[in-house]
Amino acid sequence: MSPAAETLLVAQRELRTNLRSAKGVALLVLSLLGGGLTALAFAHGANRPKPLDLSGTTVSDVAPALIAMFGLQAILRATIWLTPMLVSLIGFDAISGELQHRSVRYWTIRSRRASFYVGKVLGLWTVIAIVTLFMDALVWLVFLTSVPGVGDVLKVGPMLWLVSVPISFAWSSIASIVGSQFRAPMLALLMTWAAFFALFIAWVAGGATKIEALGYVYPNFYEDWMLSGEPKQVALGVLGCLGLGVVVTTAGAFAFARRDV
Amino acid sequence: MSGDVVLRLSHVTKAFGPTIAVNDVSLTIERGSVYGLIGPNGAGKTTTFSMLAGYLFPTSGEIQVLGYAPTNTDALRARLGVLPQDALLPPNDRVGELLVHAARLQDVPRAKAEGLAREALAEVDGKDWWNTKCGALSHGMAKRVALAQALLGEPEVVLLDEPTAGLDPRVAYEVRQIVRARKGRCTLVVSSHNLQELEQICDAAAILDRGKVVAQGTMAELTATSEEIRVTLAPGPVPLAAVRELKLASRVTFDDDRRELIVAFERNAADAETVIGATLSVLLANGARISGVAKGRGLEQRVMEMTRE
Repeated sequence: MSPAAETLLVAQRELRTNLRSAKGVALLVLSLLGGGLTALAFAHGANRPKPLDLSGTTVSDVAPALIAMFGLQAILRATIWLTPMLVSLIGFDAISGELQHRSVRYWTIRSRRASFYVGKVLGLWTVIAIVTLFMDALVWLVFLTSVPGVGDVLKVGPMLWLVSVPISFAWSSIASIVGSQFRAPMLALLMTWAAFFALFIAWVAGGATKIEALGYVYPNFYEDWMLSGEPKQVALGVLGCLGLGVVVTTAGAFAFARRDV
Repeated sequence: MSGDVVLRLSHVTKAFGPTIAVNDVSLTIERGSVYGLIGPNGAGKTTTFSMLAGYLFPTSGEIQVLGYAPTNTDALRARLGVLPQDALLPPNDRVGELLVHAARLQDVPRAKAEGLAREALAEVDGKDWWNTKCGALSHGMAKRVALAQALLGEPEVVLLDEPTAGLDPRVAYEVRQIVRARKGRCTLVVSSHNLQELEQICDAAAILDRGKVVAQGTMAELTATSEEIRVTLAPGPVPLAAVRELKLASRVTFDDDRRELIVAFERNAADAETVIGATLSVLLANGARISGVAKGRGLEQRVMEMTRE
């Protein structure tokens, strides 16, 4: 059996397990509620009448669409910025939970350790991408149905979701490598948050010291590149983000294949 | 590697920090045998077992399962089945999908995986649990499902770590019957505290104590069944001198505390049954009251002798 086939089977199981677990369902519902309610609030604000007259055109004619577009982008970018939180909450026990209860022992005699690990990362990534897609789609729907004339939703919305996909891969890989070092899921969660915070500090330090390279380890660093609109910059952003994820996943798989389970 | 040896440990040591759990253990296990790993708590049984299953890496030494390192999953896939002692089944998985997933990872085609999984579940008498979540299974049911995954797809080598631990006597009996039914179909390695159970089902065993092998061999060698007999006597006469006159007996001793007469003999001179017959005749003729007769010294006694507090 090829490593790819093993990885796919593990990833499918991870996806199935997460999407029907109480934790997975709760986070999906919370994400939908958060995204949906915020979108509704923005849409409601955008539609409030503003009877100020400026050279024959009322702001109320133009503003709702502008406000809505600003709101849409703000909410969708917020979902990207909240990706690490979602990744950590969904993925903290993906490997540590199996190590803690030794369930992993049922699988390591049947699949290569590296395949198991990569399957876990890919499964987590897919779950995050799906949850984000549902949340984003709800936001698009709210704006489309609540704010007349907000025509770019179906262009801006999917683009921002696509940007979130490589970013969530990088975060998933980081959460997995940290979480797989610990047998206690709670410790894995805390250490994942600590690692994420350390990367955030590196990004902030990179901005403050003008040493941009410091930010390369922070997945959201690549967001601006991917949204720049310049093909070369977009490509660099995507490759940088995916590259970070691949390097971290490879390192995690290497370490997992050499540890006692 | 010789054709008959399916598991081989050569000078294997496992240390956890400063603690040496397994110390220079060497074992060979032959194809088709039922092999026991015996020893008190902390003897290194589970650590040895975990290294055989590829869960733990040895600190030094070499392990081969069917000629491969235990972590060579691709070579051992579906050829090695393992029942880990304390691994929980994933609580949110349904029994059926767990077994199907295991079968799929064993490279069983999708179309056949369910049939194979149902077959394995039926073998442990659990076909009604197909849609039950693993988290809802009782301890005994979970053990049997875990056994089903170990037996899935007729593996050549099956490792069973404490297969009856924590089970009520009825379920333990049923699990023993399942294991017995596999005897001859594969090589079985069983780690257990239940010495009576091991004595009944194992062909050979290793006794471990404090990380070292203190004795190993066939069950007959370990229990000396072809070298001595033991006769327990009820209160009354003990005709020791008369028994000592038996030509077959090479040594005769009497344990006052146990009221046990031990008659040793040369394995080439006679078999145990002949010595039992001759000894009982002398005892009965001299008015001794016989409470019990056993060949050898019993695995439990052997383990007690070989392991320290």
